[in-house]
Amino acid sequence: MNASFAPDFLTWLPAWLVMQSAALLVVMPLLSGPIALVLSRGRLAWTWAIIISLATFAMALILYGQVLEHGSVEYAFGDWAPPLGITYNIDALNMLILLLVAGMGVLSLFYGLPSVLREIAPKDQAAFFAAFMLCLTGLLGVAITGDAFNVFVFLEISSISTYVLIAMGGRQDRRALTASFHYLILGTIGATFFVIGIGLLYMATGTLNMADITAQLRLHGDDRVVRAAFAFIVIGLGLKTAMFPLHTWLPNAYAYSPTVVGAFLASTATKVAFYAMVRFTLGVFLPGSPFSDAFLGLVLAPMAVAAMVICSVQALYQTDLRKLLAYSSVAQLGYMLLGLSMGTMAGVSASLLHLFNHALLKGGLFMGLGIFALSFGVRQVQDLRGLGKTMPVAAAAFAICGLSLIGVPLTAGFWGKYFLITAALEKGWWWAATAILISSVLAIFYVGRMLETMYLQPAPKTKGRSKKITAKAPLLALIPLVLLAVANVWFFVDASLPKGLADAAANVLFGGGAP
Amino acid sequence: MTELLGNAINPAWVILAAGLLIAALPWHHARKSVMLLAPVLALYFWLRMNAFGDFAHMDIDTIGISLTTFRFDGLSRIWGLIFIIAAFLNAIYALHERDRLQDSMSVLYGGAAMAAVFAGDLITLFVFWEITAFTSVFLIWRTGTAAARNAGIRYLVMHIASGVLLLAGAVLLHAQTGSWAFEHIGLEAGLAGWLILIGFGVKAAFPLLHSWLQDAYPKATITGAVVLSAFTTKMAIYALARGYAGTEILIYVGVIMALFPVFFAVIENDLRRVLSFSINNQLGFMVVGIGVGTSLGINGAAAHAFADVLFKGLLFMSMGAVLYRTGTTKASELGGLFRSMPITAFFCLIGAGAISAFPFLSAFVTKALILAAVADEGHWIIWLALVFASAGVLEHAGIKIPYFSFFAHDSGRRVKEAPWNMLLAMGIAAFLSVFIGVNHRWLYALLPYANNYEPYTLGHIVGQMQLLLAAIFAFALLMRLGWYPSEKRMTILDVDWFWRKPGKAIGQWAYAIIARLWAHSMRGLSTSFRSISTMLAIFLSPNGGISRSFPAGALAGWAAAFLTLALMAVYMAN
Amino acid sequence: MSTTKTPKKASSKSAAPRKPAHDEDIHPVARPFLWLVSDRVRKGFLYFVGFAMVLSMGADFLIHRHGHFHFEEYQGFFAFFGFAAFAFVVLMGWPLRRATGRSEDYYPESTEDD
Repeated sequence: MNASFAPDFLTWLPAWLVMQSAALLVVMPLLSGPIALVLSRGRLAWTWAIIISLATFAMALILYGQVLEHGSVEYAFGDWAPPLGITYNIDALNMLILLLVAGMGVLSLFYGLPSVLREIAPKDQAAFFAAFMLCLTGLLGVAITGDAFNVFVFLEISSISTYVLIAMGGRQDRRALTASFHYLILGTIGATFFVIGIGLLYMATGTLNMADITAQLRLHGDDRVVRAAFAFIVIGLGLKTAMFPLHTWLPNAYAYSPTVVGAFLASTATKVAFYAMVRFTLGVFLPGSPFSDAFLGLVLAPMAVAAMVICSVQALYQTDLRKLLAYSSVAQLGYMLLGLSMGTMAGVSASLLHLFNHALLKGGLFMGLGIFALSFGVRQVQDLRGLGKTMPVAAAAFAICGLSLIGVPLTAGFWGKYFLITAALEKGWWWAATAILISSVLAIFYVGRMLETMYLQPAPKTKGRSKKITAKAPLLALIPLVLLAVANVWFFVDASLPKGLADAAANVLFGGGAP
Repeated sequence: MTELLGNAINPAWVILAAGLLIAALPWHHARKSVMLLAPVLALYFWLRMNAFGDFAHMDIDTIGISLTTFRFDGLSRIWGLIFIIAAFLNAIYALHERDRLQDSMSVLYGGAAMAAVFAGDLITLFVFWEITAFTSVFLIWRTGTAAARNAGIRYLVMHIASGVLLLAGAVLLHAQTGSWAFEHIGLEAGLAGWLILIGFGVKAAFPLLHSWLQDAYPKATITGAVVLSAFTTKMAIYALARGYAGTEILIYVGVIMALFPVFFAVIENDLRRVLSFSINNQLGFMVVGIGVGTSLGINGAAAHAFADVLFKGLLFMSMGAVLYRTGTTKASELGGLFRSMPITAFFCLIGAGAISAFPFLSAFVTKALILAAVADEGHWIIWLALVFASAGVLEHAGIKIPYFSFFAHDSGRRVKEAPWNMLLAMGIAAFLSVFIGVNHRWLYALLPYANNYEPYTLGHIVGQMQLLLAAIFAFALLMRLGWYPSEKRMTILDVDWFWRKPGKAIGQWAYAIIARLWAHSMRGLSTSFRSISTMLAIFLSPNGGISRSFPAGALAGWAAAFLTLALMAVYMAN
Repeated sequence: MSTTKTPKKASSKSAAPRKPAHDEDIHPVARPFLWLVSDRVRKGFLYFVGFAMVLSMGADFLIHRHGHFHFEEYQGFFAFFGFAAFAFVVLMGWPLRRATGRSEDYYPESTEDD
């Protein structure tokens, strides 16, 4: 990483804050949840959640400064030495995720107030924010911790709060309850697989610390237990990542949850699970071992390609906007899994870059839909008619994010696909490059259909009320959306932040060994 | 990131920054001041350049390439200057207009064209190439009619495609040579060379790729058409001169470009569309000069591009003024306007004389360079064709434009003379057209190569006067005989007919057929291969299969099955 | 001039506001030039231009034009070529219009144009 970018703001801050930032990053939102519940009034709880999430984001920035300076940060809880106590390990790989989750947390919360006030029953609003903060805690925790069992705990915290959040969409649409139930079933299965895997790993190595597991595995070599552990862990995480064909929970969960939740989950939840998958397949288990190569090449790569193509086609056939975006998400996760399955530095770096960009653009798209839904009750593709005129700013931001989803040059989405294709060609996987192109062409169509409806079809004539409502995009919701659209352009022009982190992360996994 | 060498400042940045500033300025007068001041400041930076070279670089760390954003040499110098002048004239011409969107977009568009001209590598060129498309389209859309909206979309599609071709070619070229530099490309570069040539060709309105021009420019706003006429196509001519000098095929492409619009312009009723054909025709001359590729040919293309921006701008401005006052530019609706707009008529006549290459007006000293270059290489058929096309220029631009709007039969329209700012802009353009015609040494000194061609020989003047007078005589005679196709309100078809009519119909037909085939095959499959059809439905239909909710037990089983698969893969590995 | 034969939609449309040539609305700058469109000048224009053309052709007998090609140096080459080219371009307008001309609302969208 470029040392000259290292911010000197660290020297301005009190030393204890810098020292404890890793712990505060998780502890603050964790403790804030119950307090939010106590505050009991929607707006009050929201204010509280905003303050905490901003503080959390600040912690992430402080950590980023430290990572820039030192390369990685290690934090031991209660000063217990690594193999025994719980440690937090922060390197470029989880830094990328932490920044993303903390940042999207802030943006989603700002965005969320108008829709929460509208969609959630007043008595449940405080509970909603409490669940949201817990979910944030879980996601951050998965990303930050260096302890395998801790990953499970945080994964469960985030999952359980997610079930609650999705179910809260039930007031709008009863189908949210079934969606939540299905996610609960699959999520629990995934968690079970994962914890079984961790247990097997503990049997084999006698430790739960991830760095220590790697060290033990290096001595120990592989056997059937380790291999079984690997399979259980990756499939467990695959379920959480919505790896094709285990993605069936995702579309309904995104489609029927409250709009904020859709935006937040789409940009963070699967990304964090994907992070854990990368961490375990390439960081904890030794990269280049025969069984992980077999899994990546024989199972993951075909599934990734299948996801990219099949789910893009499914997106093409959807009429419900949020389901369309959800299927597109599964397809985009296919891109990331494909990068991972290449098992090369270039591939992993590209897939992390794509992860970052996809979080920005999918978050933006869901936020855009939320605003449209809030103002005009937009649910179906055809409801978008004429929105280019009636809500010009939101529509333009939505369109930019959509173009980024296609990967049009001048948007951030371009870089992810560009580097994925170069990585695939570098490895000689021309079929993967072809699949990326095919899937991109499909994306042109499903995004193009939305943009076409928005810009080229006249607004439906509704008894003279369409004009009045034009200005009613709530500003609080509009600002995060516009910020994300700007980010999508900005990270095309200057991709040094995500690209630098992604490269450094790939370097940690392949070059510098496990943390 | 940007490193400045020798304190050289790219004039294009000034214009682009002004464009962004204007976009943010809510006050009319502040906007107009910036619009006027920016070209003056850019001119100052242009004048300060006293050496050739690459002056600014930008490193993109993401993909590890270094861009050259400011190359100042003989070729980019003259294009830079004419674009600065055009930006200034456009600002004056648009002084009366209260439209923030058009103000900012036209300035950004001019700045992007300038930045493309100063680009030293293909990536920078591509970026600004596309920006010109995205910004200029607003000048078309702003008219607000459905026709303008659709034409703008067709325009945008073709221009984005042009940029994509350029990018694809650039990537291929980089694979071959390892360099992004924008130097001579030529068709020796194989597929890359062809891709880039076609990309340039779209913007230069090569035959069959040209329809966006006649489609969109006449539908642009009054000021928009003036702005559009200056930049896009001339930028493409610059790119061709830089990358494809001496590419023989361009001679033939150019001749066709110079010839075919001549015939269409005769029967076209909309005078702004006549001028669009005229752009095409003038570009043809420049493309021929580039195709010849000698120093005289390139000089000719550069000089003619310079003169064309002025006199074509002048003609568009005069037609814009007519449109502004009367609300139409249809020849069949106009006539006799010199009674109410005599000053506009006068400037229009100067523009018409300049484009027709009357002695002591600009095209006389610039077009002659191209004809001489062609003749020097012994292409006598090409030469004849260009002389033929020159007679055609006189017909549509020299006579038709001023005659049917300002003279001919009196339409009875009595309107006000054009606003003072329009007159001022026209006056400056007219002055410069005369200035170049008289002081041709001034322009020749700015050309990329040393130039000692002498246009003012008695023989040249006499020959040209013969051509012009005989052509005017022919016009007067045909009018007297009633053989001149009278002006009629109608739509003249062009190649865009192919995608606006049969293309659209084929598209709709294909859609219907595919939809039917699809339905049919789905039905057929379901009867014969019930299982396969079920699977397809799982993948494709929004409400069935995978998309529908599974029972929880099935989900668990599915996950377990997948786990088994993973376990097998893991265990099988040696 | 061209209106003698074909009575057009356009002229019927603009017939109402048509006024005599010397009306009040004429721009002061244009007044000294109104003679340019008098019938005499209009009719004489053909002969004037024809005369000028003959003069320019005559100049060829006094000076020798140096051309790149020998055919270019024939006396009056440009005049003959220019006349033929111009006449050809204009007369081709008839068949071309028959081939490509359509009514103004041929493309459905352009009806909204005016």
